[in-house]
Amino acid sequence: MTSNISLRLESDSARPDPARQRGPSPASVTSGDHQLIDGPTLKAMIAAGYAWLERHKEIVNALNVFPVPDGDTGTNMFLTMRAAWREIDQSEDGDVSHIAQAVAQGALMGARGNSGVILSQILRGMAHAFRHKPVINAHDLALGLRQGSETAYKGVVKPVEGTILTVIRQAADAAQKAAAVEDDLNFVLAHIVQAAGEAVEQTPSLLPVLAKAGVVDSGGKGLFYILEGMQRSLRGDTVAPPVELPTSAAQQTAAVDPYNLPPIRYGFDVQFLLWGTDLQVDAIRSWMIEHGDFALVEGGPTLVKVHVHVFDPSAPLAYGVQQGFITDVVVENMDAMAAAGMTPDDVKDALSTARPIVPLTTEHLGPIGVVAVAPGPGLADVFESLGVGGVVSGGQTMNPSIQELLEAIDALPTEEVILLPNNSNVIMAAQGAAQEATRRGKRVEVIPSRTAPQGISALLAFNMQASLDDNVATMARALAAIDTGEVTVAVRDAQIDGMEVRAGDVIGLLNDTLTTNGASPQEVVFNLLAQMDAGQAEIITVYYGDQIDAAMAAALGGEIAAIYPGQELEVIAGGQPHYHFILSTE
Amino acid sequence: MARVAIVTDSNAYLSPRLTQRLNILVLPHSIHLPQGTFKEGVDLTPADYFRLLKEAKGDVLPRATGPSVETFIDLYGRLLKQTDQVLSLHMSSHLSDTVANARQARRMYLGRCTIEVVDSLSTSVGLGTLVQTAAVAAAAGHNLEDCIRLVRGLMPHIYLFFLVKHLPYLEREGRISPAQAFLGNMLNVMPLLQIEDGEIIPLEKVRTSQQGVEKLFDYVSEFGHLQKAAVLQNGFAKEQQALLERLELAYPGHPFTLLSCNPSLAVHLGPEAMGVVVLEVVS
Repeated sequence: MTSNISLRLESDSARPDPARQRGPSPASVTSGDHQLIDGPTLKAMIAAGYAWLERHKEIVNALNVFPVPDGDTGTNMFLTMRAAWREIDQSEDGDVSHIAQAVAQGALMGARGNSGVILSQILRGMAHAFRHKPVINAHDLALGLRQGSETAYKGVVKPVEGTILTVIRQAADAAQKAAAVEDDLNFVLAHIVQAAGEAVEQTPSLLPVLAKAGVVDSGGKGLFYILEGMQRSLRGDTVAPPVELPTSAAQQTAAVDPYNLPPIRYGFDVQFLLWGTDLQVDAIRSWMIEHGDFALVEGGPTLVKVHVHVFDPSAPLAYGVQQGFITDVVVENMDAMAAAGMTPDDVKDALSTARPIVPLTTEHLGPIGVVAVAPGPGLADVFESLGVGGVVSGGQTMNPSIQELLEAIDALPTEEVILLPNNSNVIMAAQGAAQEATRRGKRVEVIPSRTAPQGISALLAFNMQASLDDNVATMARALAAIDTGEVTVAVRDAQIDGMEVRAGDVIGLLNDTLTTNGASPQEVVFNLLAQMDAGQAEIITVYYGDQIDAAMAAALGGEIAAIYPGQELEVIAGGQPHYHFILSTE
Repeated sequence: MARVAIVTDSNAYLSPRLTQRLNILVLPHSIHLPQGTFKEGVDLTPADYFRLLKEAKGDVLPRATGPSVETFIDLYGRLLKQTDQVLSLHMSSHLSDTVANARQARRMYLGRCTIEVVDSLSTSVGLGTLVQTAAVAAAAGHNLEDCIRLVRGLMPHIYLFFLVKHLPYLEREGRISPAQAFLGNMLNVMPLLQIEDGEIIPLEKVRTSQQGVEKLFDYVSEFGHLQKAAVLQNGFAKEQQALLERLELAYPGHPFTLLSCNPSLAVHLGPEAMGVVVLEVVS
């Protein structure tokens, strides 16, 4: 058998194939027997994988182990794929290596959440395997998956089985076995998808936390859908890309418009004020980010300012009127502005508003800058008051992408930067951003803070005079000096760690683990404080969220002070969404 | 050859008994309070200073000015009748105008005698230790060059660490940048500071005074052997006691001097501050 495989490999790579020189071979565009994938075919497969994931995004989101409203895996992987797709959307490159490279770059920059980062690493490994290859055959694809798997494993400090890693590895194994017996790519992809599906089903037996929660691994499932979408595309099934995306076809039509209108390249800049009584700023922001570019959504429960770039201006307005009352509507056609003689950069400069990265005080930063992810405006203020030069909003619910973290790093004038992710699902993106920034010439170190209070604790240990290495060591040590409690509402029924919670229950997490539930946020606060052994702490800090008003927070503070008279207490407006209270004891 | 005269300023925080015994000439800082201007160590003790500060209405940012150029000219002129070698050793030039004033006065006497103005890059008990060392050497008959060499050799072995409750005092004179002074506006954060090369340098921050005591103790305990150590405080009496107890356990038999912050330093650190001054054993 073995000799047979190697023979095939040799004969394959040695076979002169005129199609490689001439571009797409007829075989690659018909269904049925597929021997080769060229650039356009790979592009179609990526589009299909992206679209298929989008269609199943909510299924993946529902697989979160903890029933908390945290950065959803499906959304994170979808946004990562969207960033990848945007790199090739306009491309007509016939070369597989160029398409794969662009996809890897897009995914790297757009990676959000740990699953998104691992997905981007898989795509990077594949692109590396496909380099210098204008077309790929079944063996190349198998090698690509193998390299994708290896890159992903290397990217994780402690690889855990029963995750997306297991799924890509078993998919790669299946690909190699299948490619050894058959050249047909449809055959190989069928085996890949089958193995991926089986691996997903096995994840609960490998990872007890999944079994306890009664779910399969969400990242693995997301990868499965991407692979399945790719398979369907190659097989000839149509998988339409998500509707909100401009397709190159649509743009070609616009270019030959009889009225000679400019081509749609930038779309519309839409701004409006949204009035209401109980506006969910975070949900509105998520919608805008998902449906547009450069989304900037700021405000509170009664008034929200929306600014977004879209191809269909009616979409955000229709969404807006569903949410409340809209005024001050401004819609600018950016293509018309471009046609009027503005350069693309002028148009972007005139209209684009990047994600809210707070500018910094350059003179006073010292030699080391700090970037921190803050889940709410109040916490952003706390981080800034502690000398953070770049605050990236996000964390809970919307995980920032590598690109957003990189922009904050780049905006700092310092050569050395410390990055505080402040959320366990942002740590890998932070590490990705650090690597990318290091490649560009800055030295960036990630302190793996899993909660905002941990980030604050680390910042207090930050010493402007000390070297980057010394700071990294002392700040990492400071993470352990603090306990974090979080109060939120369960987003689904769950049975986990011996606790049964129903959707809508108020739940408490101690250092990222579900430990208590109760009828009211206040009750859960006291349960958590007892679990945190607050009576032994020196200081208790309460950061209240955007659903809690100052009077409620003050009343709770009074009750805490009565029960814990020996502790110093600070009550601070954190402004974080979804989490009524974030507590810390030290 | 006449013996070296030692001049310093009241920031050195030396007792009158000691200055008299070692023949140290001390020029006072002027401390400006709403109630008037006082001469440190002459008509103003640390206790007076903090009492007046408490009695003053509103937000008071007291100031200090070093001995004036004229005072120096006058003193140097009188000294030159007895000696032609003067060592003038003063509070860090980063914290006070004293060194600049002394240097200006020195120019009056260029060519007529040797006056060496040395920036101690230190303050309070740290400066006092340097002055005392120089005075002992001078009394033993060492020449100016030797006295200076001795002082310069000792300077890197003196460490000052402080925990400070309020920052406007440091911010006011640009001792600390506005970004750093902004600390503590959101959370009740207290910075730990070090006086290094004469400058006030922020180290890390703590949120409780207990944590501050821990940190100060940690800093001191990094020194295996102490030659001399003092604990200064104002507004941190309980914490000073806690720190002292920990230090005495860690360094049994070692005497620790307990002092109040002296006004010419306290104007920078604010009404509530605690610190440790350490002279490590020089091998």
